[in-house]
Amino acid sequence: MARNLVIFFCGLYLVCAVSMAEQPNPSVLVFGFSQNNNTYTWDNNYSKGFDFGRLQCDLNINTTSLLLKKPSKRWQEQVSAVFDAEYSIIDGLSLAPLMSHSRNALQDRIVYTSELKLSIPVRKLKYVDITPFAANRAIKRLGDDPSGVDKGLGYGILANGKPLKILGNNIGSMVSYKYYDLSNIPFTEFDAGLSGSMTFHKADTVTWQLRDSESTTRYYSRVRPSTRDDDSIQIMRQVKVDRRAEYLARIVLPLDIAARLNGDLSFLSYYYSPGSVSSTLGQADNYTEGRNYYIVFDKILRNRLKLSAGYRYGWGEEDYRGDILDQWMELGEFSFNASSEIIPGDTVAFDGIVGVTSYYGLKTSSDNERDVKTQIYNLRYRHIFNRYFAGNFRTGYSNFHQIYTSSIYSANNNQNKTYLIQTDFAWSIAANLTINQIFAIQANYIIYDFVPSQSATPNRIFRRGLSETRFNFKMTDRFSLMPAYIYRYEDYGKLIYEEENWQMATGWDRRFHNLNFKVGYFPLANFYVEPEYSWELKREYNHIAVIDQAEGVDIIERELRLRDLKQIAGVLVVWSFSQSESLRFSYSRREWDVKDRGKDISEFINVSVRYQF
Amino acid sequence: MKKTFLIVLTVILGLGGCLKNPVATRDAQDPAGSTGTWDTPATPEQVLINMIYAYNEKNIQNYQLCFANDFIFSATEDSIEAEAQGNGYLFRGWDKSVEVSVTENLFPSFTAEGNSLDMVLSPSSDYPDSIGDSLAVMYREYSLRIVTADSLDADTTIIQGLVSFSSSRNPFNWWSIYFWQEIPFDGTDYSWANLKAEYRN
Repeated sequence: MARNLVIFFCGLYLVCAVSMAEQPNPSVLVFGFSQNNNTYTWDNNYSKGFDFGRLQCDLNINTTSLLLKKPSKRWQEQVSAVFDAEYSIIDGLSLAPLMSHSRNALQDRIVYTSELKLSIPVRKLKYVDITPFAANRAIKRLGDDPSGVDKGLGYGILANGKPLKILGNNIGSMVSYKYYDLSNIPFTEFDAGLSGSMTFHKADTVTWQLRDSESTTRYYSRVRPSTRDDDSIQIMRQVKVDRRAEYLARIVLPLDIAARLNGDLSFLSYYYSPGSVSSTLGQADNYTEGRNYYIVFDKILRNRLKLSAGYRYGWGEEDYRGDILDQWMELGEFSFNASSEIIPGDTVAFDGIVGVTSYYGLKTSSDNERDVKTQIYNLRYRHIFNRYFAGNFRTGYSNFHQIYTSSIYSANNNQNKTYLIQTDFAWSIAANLTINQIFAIQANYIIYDFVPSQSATPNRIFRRGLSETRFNFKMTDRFSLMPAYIYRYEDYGKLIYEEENWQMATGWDRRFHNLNFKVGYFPLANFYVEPEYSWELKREYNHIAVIDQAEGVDIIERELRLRDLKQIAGVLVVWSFSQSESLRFSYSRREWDVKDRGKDISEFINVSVRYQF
Repeated sequence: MKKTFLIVLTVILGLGGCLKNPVATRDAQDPAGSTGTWDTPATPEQVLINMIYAYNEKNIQNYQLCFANDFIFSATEDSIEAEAQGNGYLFRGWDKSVEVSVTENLFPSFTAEGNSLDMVLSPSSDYPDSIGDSLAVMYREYSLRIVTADSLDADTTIIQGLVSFSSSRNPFNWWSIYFWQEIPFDGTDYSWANLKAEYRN
């Protein structure tokens, strides 16, 4: 069947190619290649649409190849070809054949999948469009267990309800069913959905959606190695049930306060037969269910101040197969946002979230019971000094507090706090010269709830400072210079509470310099060249306590631990044939020199072509 | 209509018991155990050191700290095989929540007496690390030793292969792994990904 399909596709292509000159739809060919050290990737696609009036066809061919050259050569290939068409017999009644063939290969393991399918879309009925289909699918496996052929007939139907208006609601509906009677691993899928939306008064709306998906499938399952003396494979049967409901309501309350209420309910379960062959296997009956509600109130004051406040509630239950894993959770979260344009050129925004998520044992109390408290606050301010100079200021704070209630895990309870201050400025010095400058400092504290002793404290602090300067000098319409410099400082160490104050015992610090120089040049209007050079130096120092022989006391000495120098040279070339056609090539070579590790040279190549004909 | 909305809202939130204090937390018992071996992941290498300790100490809290919120696990070869066998869903949508859930299933299975799971990661000579300013890709050859015991005997399995860990640094966080790709050694039909997939619910 596979060979016949390949012959058929070739014939089909020739027929279409002959008639192609008369067709308005262009063919699209996309070719991609990339090389990264020992990994080579090819990714190609050809697609073509044909419009013969009553007959519309699409041909799509994809090939993907991956070669890993080391430690040994490994080829992975995927080829797929899909041809689908729709022939209008009379108005509202069509024939839609589909042919697909794919080859998935990994070394000597190959899987061929072929399918012939005929659908009959019927769009003449008053309330519903229906599309029944019949198909023949075959899956052939070579070189791996289970080898052999699975094949069989399939059939099904898709029904889409036409838009209806009932009690002011715009109702949409769909239902689909399909069954493939493959010889060893048959499967069934059922899907149904119902949705509605209603608008009332001026801008008040309610939308809702119900969805039910159920499937039954069989698959090959290998028994885990510790028990597989005979390397046995068994066929498992899985039943999946997935049900969801969602709604969203928006209504304007008195005082022009807009309220939004949305929520969702979900239930997902898996049932397996035969039951697990081992108590450690994951294929055991299980279910999860949950519900979330979110209410937000929005208010705009005097067209300047936007206020928003919301509350979110979440609940979920997970039942797997044992008391250790089963749990339920509950979330309560408050959020707010305020933003305003104080005067033209000055805007400020403040937002925050505070909430707690609690986890509990489902049937009995569990050692994994815990609370996670989250606090995030951000303040942003933007000031436009004049048409040439503008700046942003941002400060932020976050705190994640993890609290395990059981003594087994409570030693890990800690607060992870981060403070951030950042400014960025954009300055147009001249019509052809702009500068962007960023400054940022950040401090991150990890403070444990239970500290065994000051000397063995697990508390940590990490600090970081950043300066980034970027120039864009447009010398002519076709020639630009883009130099940049980045400097970063970081240090890290233990955080000790001593003499009624937090003190830092620095463990290491490091400094990072990056000089980057880029040139953008258009020798022709549709031809772009961008050579680039980058120089990066990182130095890392350990802080070590040593005894000062003269004084007889401990002193801290900085010792160079790492010197890491990278030089990267590369070029990017883009040749645009048209708005949607281009050839893109990039090459870069990296020389990486690390203290005590020697020099490493790597090359990276990317080529991509998009062509229409 | 607005009155109806408010009534419906009150009924949903009130009768549904859908209110939880967003600031109150429970008290914790004094610790009986240790924090496990974990150091602040200020470098991408430290993330892997933390991961090795968390795996071998079976410490799920420290293990999940190694992964970014947008984490993805990919086992291309095993996925292809699973798709061919009709159970491709085992590897689909493998994000952080799946990784944590799988590991929560895996660890307790190897804390039982007689069972053990030990993991070793070593640098690959064929694939050098690529560590940038905010992104890093590190290749490691792994070796897992699995011992499962019953009343009669103990069975030892060794799994070996190659993995790549892509890590990133987030302004509000430390280094963490956002992409884990498995590349099994040639000729092996059982990989780390296969082991993990067995514990996916």
